[in-house]
Amino acid sequence: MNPADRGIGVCTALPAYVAAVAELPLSAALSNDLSGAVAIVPGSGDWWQGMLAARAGGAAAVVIADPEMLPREALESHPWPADVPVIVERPRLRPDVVADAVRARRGSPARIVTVECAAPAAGLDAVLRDGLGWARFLVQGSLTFRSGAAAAQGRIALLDSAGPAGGSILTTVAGAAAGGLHPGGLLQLLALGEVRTEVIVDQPAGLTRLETSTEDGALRAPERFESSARLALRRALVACSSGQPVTDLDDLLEDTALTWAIHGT
Amino acid sequence: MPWNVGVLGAGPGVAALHLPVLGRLAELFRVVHVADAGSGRAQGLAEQLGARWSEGEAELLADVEVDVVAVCSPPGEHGRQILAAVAAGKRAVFCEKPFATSREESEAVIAACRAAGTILLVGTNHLFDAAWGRAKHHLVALEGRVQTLSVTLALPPNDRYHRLVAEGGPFQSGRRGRPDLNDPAVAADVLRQLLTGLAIHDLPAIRDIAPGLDEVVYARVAPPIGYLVGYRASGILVQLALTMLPQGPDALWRMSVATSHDRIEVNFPPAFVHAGSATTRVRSVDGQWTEYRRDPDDGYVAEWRLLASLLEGAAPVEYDELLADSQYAIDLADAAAAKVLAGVSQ
Repeated sequence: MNPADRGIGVCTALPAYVAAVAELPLSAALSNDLSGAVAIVPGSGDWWQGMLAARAGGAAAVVIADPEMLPREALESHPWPADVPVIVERPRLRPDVVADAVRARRGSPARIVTVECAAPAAGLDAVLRDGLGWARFLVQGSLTFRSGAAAAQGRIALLDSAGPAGGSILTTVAGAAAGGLHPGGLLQLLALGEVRTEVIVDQPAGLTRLETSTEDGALRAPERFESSARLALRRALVACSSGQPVTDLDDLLEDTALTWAIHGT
Repeated sequence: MPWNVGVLGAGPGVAALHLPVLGRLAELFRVVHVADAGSGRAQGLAEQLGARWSEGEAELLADVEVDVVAVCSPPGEHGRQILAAVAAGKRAVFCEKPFATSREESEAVIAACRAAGTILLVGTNHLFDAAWGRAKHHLVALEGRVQTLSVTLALPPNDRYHRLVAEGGPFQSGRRGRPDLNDPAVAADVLRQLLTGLAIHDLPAIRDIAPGLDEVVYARVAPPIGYLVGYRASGILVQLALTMLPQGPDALWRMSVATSHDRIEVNFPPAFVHAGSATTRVRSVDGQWTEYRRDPDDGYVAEWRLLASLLEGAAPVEYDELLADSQYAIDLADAAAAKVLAGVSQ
C-alpha cells in the first residue's frame, strides 16, 4: 500500500489510541513523526506542556486524552494555542451523547439544571468540571457562578445563564468526596422542564445512561459503543481535513475556570 | 371498633386523598363528619359516606361522636383549629402540614396538646414512607458520613393525579394572577409559602440527618414557580430544588444523600396516587447499584396507621420532635425569604 494511502499519521503510545488507529485503518496510521500528524497527549500531569510541545513540533492537530484538572496557575498564565485544532477527549462528556441529549429536547429549554457529582477527593474537581460542561450544553450558553459553600468533604453552588425571552436558567452543583479507588466517579445531571433530561455517567460502573422524558413517556438513548478514544481521533482527523474550528479547548478552559470559582468558595 | 373522624376541610386534599385513604383503612377509621368553610363541598363528600356535614368548625367540634379531628384546611387555619380541637376535648388531631406558621404558634400548639394529652400527628407523609425508613436505617447502620443532601422536585399540575383518585373537578383552585417575582417582597413571600407548603414534605427527614441550621447559602425563586435553596445544616450541605410545570413528564420527587461511601436515592411517587412506597436505590463507590422494591403501603396510609397506633397507646407522641420539625421548617423559610429580600443572592 502506498504510504500516502494509509491515512494521517498519529503519534501515540496510549493503548486506547493505538487501538483507535487500528479501528480506523483507512483514515489513520501510527507514526513517529509529529510533523503533519495528530499528536495524542496523555491527560495526566502537566498535559498542557505536552500540547504546546506537540504544536511546536508541527502537529496538524492535538488530542488531549482525558485531561486531569488544570491547575489554577496554569489556567491563568498560559497563552493557549488557537492555530492548531485541539480535540479534548472527555469520556464523561462525549460529544455524541451530548448531541443525543440536546437533540432529544427538541428545543425545549431547561428551567432548572442540577448537577451532582461524587468521586474520590483527588478526582472530584475533574468530575465537577465535566458536569459543568454538561450543564453548559443543556442550557445552551455560558454559566456564571453566583454563590456557593464548601464543607469538609463537599461543596454546593448556584450558577445561572441566559435563558429564553430574557430570563435566566438556574443551575445547582453539588460535589461530594467519596471513597473508592476509581478516580472517575459518578456524575448525575437533571435538566428539568417540560422535557426532562437525566444523565448518569458512572465510570466505576462502566455506565452512561441518557433518558429524555416528556408527558408521553421516557426514551432511553442507545448506548454508544464506539470507544471514546476512537471518537476523539475521528474528530481530530475531520478537523485536520476540514479546517473547521474546534472549540473543545475553549470549552475545557471555561469549565475549568468555573470549577475553580466554585472551589474557591 | 374504628375511630370516628371529623374532617375540617373539603378541598381536593380531602376529596382525592384523605377520604380514599380512610376508605382503605375502614377497620381503623370511620368518617362521621365533614365540615367546610362555606364552599358547600362538605355535603357532597359526607353524603356518600353517610356522614354528617356542617359549615364552619363549631358543629364538628361539638359533635360528641368525633374522636379524631383531621385538620385539612388552608395552612393559616391549622394552628388555631388544633387549639380549638384540644379545647373541645378531642382525643386526637391529624393535621396536614404545616401545623403552625410561626415559632410562637408551634410552641402554643405543642404546649396545649402536651398539657391536655391530645395526640397530634402531622401529615408529613414522606417521613412515614417505608422506603425513607429503610434509607435512614441504612445511613445509621453503616455510619456513613453524610456529605451532601438534595431534594429535587419537578411537578406537573396536581390535577393530573387528582383525576386518578377522584371524580368531578376541576380540582385546581381558581388561578390567581401570576405573582410578580421581580418584586423581592413578593418573591420572598412566595418562597416562604413554597418551603412551608411543599419542601415541608421532606424537611423532617432532612432534619433527621442535618438537624442544626447553620446558614442559608443561596435562595432564589425560579420562574414560573419554583425555588433553589442551598444551606448548611450541622456541617452538611443541603440543596432544595423545585420547578412547577404547566405540563411535562410525570412528577419527579427525589431525595439524594451522598455519604463517604455510597449514594442513596429515594424516589417518591407522585402526590395523591397510591403507587406504594418510594423506591430506593443505593450506589456504592465501586459502582454497584442496588434497587430496593416498593412496599405496598404509601406514606399516606402509613401516617394514618401510625395515628391508629398512637390512639391505641402502642407508640408515644413525639411532641418535642414535632416542635423541632416545625421550627426547622419555619426557621429555614424565614432565613431563605430574608436572603431573597436582602438581595444577597442576586
